[in-house]
Amino acid sequence: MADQAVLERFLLVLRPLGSGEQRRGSLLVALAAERDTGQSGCTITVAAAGDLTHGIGTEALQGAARGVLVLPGAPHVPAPCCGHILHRARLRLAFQLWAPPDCVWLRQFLHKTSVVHPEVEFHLCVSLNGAVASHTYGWESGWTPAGVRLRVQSRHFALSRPAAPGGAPPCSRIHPTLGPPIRLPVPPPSVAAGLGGELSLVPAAALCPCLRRAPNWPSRLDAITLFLYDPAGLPAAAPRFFQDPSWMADWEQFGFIAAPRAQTEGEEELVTPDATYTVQEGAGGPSGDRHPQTLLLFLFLQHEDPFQAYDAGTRLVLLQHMEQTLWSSRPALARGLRTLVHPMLGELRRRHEAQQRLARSLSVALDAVTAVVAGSTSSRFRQGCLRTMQGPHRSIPVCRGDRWRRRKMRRVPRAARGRCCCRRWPNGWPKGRGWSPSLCHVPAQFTQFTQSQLVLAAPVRFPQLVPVSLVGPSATVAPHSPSHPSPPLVPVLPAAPSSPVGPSSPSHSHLSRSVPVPPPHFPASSQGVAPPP
Amino acid sequence: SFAKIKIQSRTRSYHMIHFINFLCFSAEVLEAIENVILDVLKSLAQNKAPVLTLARRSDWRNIEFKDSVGLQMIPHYATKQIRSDCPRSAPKFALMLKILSMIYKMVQSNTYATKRDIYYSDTLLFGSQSVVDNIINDISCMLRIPRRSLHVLSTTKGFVAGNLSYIEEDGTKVNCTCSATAVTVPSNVQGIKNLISHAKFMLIVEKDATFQRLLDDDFCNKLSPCIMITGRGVPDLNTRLLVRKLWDSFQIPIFTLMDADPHGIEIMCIYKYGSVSMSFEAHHLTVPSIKWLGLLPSDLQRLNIRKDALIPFTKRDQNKLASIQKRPYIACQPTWKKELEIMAASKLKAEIQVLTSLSSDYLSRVYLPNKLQFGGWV
Repeated sequence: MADQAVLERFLLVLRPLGSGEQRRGSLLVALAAERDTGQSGCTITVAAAGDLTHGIGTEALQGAARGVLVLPGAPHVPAPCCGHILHRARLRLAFQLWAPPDCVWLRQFLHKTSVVHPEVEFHLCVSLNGAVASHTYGWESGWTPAGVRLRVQSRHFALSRPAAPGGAPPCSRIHPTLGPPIRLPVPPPSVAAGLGGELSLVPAAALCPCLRRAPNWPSRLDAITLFLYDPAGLPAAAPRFFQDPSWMADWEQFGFIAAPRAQTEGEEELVTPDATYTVQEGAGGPSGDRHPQTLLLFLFLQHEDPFQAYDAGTRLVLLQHMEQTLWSSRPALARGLRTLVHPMLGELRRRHEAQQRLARSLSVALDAVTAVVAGSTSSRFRQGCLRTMQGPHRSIPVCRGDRWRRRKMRRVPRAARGRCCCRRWPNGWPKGRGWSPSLCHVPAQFTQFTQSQLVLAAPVRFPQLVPVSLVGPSATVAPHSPSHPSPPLVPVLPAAPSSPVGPSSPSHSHLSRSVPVPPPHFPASSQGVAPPP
Repeated sequence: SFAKIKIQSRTRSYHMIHFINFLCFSAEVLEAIENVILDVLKSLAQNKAPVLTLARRSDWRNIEFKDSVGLQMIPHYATKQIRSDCPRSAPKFALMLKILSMIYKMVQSNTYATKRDIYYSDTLLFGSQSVVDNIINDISCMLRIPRRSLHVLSTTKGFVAGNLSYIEEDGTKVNCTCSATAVTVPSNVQGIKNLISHAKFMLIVEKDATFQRLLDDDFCNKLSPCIMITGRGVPDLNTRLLVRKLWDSFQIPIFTLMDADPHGIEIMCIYKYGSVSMSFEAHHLTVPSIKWLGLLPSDLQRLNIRKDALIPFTKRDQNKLASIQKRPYIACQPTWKKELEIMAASKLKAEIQVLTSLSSDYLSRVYLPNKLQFGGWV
C-alpha cells in the first residue's frame, strides 16, 4: 500500500531511529478526510521534530515521497492536537491518497514501532469529517541494553495488572531478559538480490504482567506473543516460519503445551503481536483461579554492512527472503531461543510448584484448624473463635426479636412453642423496625460463611440489630442475650431454611441449637497467598 | 484392718489426686493448643497471614550454661517465624497445625500415640520420620509442655538392668533384677511409680555390646547392688528421663562408661548437661552430678594399652573434639578438660573393648571394680 510504503520510507529516512544512539523527538502522522464534500481522497501528513531530525536534510524526504502526490505548501492538518509537533517540526511531508488507508493498521503499525523507540513520542491523528481521534505514545524511559530499545510499561502488552494483596501497588513494568545474538547466514538468493553484510537476530523475552511483588500470587502461563522487528526498528510481518512454536522451547520438559493461535482483533490499547500461541499446562499443573501471564518474545533483526546503509530497498529484500533465511538458521535459532526461554519457563515451573505446595499446605492447615474448633468443648474458646471471625464488630448484637418472642412465648400455648415466632405474624415481621426475621433462624448455612460475608453482615443500622438488606440466605450468627450464657457449641448439620427453630425453654437463649463456627478463610496476604480451593 | 483401711484410703486419694492432676494438666494442654488456634484465627480476621513463632532450639546463642542444671534455654531467646504465606515454610506451618490437632484429639480422648504412629498416619503428608520428630519437639518447646504430656510417646531403645523394681502406669510390675536379661526403658517414664532399689550406684553404659557383656558377667550383683542403663548410643528422651527420675528418687552416684572417643564424650555430656535441641526441658533431663568413670584417655596411658590397639582420629573426630572443648561446660570441669587435652594431643581414640586386649574379662573383673573402689572417676 502506498501509505504504508511512504510511512516506512519516511521512518527509514529518520535512520537514527534504528541506530544505537538514542535521539529524543516526536513523530506525527496525521490523516484527514472529508467525505461530506464529495471528495474520496485523504491527506496524510508526516512530520518529525526534535533531536531525531538532526543531520537529515529535506532532500532525503524526496525519496520517501516516491509514488505519491505530494502537496506543496501548507499541509492540510485540521487537528489542534498536532500543533505542538508541527510547530517544532523540521521535517514535514504531506501527500494525498485516493482512498483512505486502513486506520487500524496505521495505529497498530505506529504502536508497534513506538515499542522499540521509547525515546520518541508517536502521535497519530485521524480526522474524518471533522471528528478527530488521536493516539499518543509518549516518551518513556525504556530498556536499552546492547543496541536494543524497548518500552517496558506493561500497559502496552496487557490490559489488567493484578493488584498485589495488602494494597501494594502492582508492578507496572515488564522486566525483559536479553538473549545471546544469533548469527543468521544470508542465503545466496538474498546476496544475489543485493543484501550483503552480516545478519543476526537478538532475542529478548519478558513475562507480562510482572508478578514480582506478589510471588505467591497464583499465576499461569496463558499465551506467548512474538514481535519481529527489522534492523531499523520497524515491524516486520512474521513469516510462516513462526507458525509452529514447537522448536522455540522444549515445552514438554516444563509441563507446557504450546500451539499456534489464530490472530484475532486485539485490544485497541495493546500492541498487536506478529504471532500468538496458546499455552496449556500439562497434567499435574496447578488448579484453581490463577492470573494469566503472557510470555513476550521480541526478535530484533540486526544488519551490519559497511558498504550499504539499511534503506527501503534493503528492507524489501530482507523481508522477501526472510522465510528462507530463518529456515536455513533454524537449529541456531532454536538453540538461541531455548537459551533465553528455558530459564524463564523453569522459573515459572518452580513458581507453580511453590504455589501448589502453598495451596496444599493451606488446605492441611485449614483442616487442622477446623478440626480443633469443631472438636472443642470449651465455650470460652468457641466464643473466642466466633468473635474473631465476626471481624471488627465484636459485640454480638442482641436480637430484639428474641426478647419479643420470649415475652410472647409466655402467652403462647405450649403447643406453639418450639416454632419460630416469625410464623406468629401472618403479615410478616413488624415493618418499620428493621428487624430481620431471619435472625430467629439458626444459621444452618453458617458454616458456609466466608469472612467477607461476616464483615458485610456486621455493620449495623440500628445499634443492636443486623439490617435486613445485608442478611442473605446465609444468615449471620443469631445473637444471644448477654444475660444468658451461651450453650456449649457443637457441630450441627445444615438445616433446611424453612425449618423452624426455637428454644427448648423460655429461659434459654433461642440458640438452643448450637452455632458452628465458620471455617476460616485464608485471605491473600501481602505476599499473595492463594486462597485454599 | 485399720492399717488396711488406711492403705486403701491412701491409694484412693493417690488415684484421685492423680486423676485431678491429669484433668488439670490436660486442660492446660488443651488451652495451650486452643490459644495457638485462636491466634491463627485472629491473624486471618485481620487479613494477615498467620505465623507460628518458635524458639531457635538449636542455636547456641539461645543457650546458657548453669552448672546446677546444664545447658538451658535463656529467658529471652531468639525466635524464628514459620509463615503460612511463604512456600518454603508453609508446609511446616501446616504440619505443625496438623500435629497440634492430632495432639488435641489425643489429649481430649486420653489416648496416646508414638511418634511413629503419627508418621504412619499419613506418610505422604509428613514425608519422613525426622520431620515428625522435629515438629513434635518444636511444638513441645513452643507450648512449653513436655512431650509426654502431649500424649506423644516414643519407642524406647534404651535398656535398664540391676537392682530396681517399679510399677508402670498401667499397673504392670517390672523387676529389673533378673540378671540374664535387661528390661526396656518404659515409654511412659512419668507414669512409673513405687520405685524400689537397694543400688549403691548407677552405671550408664554407652554401647549395647558393653552393656550385654556386663550383664553376662553378672556385674550388677558381683560388686555391689547397682543399676545399669544403656541408651545404645545417643540416648533417647525416655532413657534420659529415667536417669533423671532415678537420680531424683534415690540420689545415688551415677557413673558413665563410654568409649574414649569424642563421640562417647559427647554422649556423656548429653546425659550430664543435656542437649542444645532439648535445652528447654533441661530441668527434667539432665543430671549434672554424673561422673566420668571410664574409659578415660589417661587410662590408656596408665594401662599401657598397645598403640596398635588404638584408632587414629579422623577429621570428623578432630572437629568434634575441638567443638566439645569450646563448650561452656568443659571450662568448669578442669579434670575433664585435662582428659580432653590428652586425647587431643595423642589424636588417638579407643573403644571399651580395647580392654579385652589385656584380658577377656578385664572390664568387669579388674577395671570397673578398681575404679569404683579407689575413686577413679573424674
